[in-house]
Amino acid sequence: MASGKGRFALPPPKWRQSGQEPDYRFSLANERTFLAWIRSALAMMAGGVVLVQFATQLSPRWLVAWTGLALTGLAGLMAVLAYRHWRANEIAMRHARPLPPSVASAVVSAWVALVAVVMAATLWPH
Amino acid sequence: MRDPGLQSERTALAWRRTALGVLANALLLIRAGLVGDHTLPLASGLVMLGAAGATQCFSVWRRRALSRAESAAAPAAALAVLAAVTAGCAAAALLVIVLDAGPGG
Repeated sequence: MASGKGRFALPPPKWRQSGQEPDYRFSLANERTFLAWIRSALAMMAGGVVLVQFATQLSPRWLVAWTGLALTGLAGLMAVLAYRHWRANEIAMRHARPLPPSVASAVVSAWVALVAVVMAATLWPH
Repeated sequence: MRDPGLQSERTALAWRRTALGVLANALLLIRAGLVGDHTLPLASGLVMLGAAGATQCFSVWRRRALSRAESAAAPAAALAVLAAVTAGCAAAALLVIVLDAGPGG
């Protein structure tokens, strides 16, 4: 039950004080899933910045800029949703409820496909 | 069958990989801030640099906590801070794109 770590322990948030401590393997898997989403977000925003800053031969520039904005915007949203999803999963596990559904994967897949189509359009010779 | 402790290693490695991702974005932001002479992205990049170091330190600390007790729960505050830092980085990256693409695009 303890989530304190000696000198630097903060009191656990309220949602961690109700229900039962989940199987640690599921908690660790949940934690790694969160980190995977964060890394995905970091990769997307890096992609957006690199696209706009380094792919200078691509045109039209306005489309490249909007694609970069779309990537970095989604990355920021993904980071926030990652934490909320981790927390919701922990709470569900604490109360032996099924994990809440997440549309995140579908949204990200659709977004990435859209960006790929747009990029193909910018590379089309014209 | 008892898990021989590979879960804790995977978890610590996941934090390390995340620290690397934060570092890469920090360098991108710093570069963008320096090249384009934008102070806010540069400052954000430096903050991210600190965050990368902090994340790496956290991965070591987490490893130790997990080796003491495999059931050691991740402090929610740490995850919240990481998510906030990532979102802030995205905002800075957005700013970079807007600033650089502004006049021409």
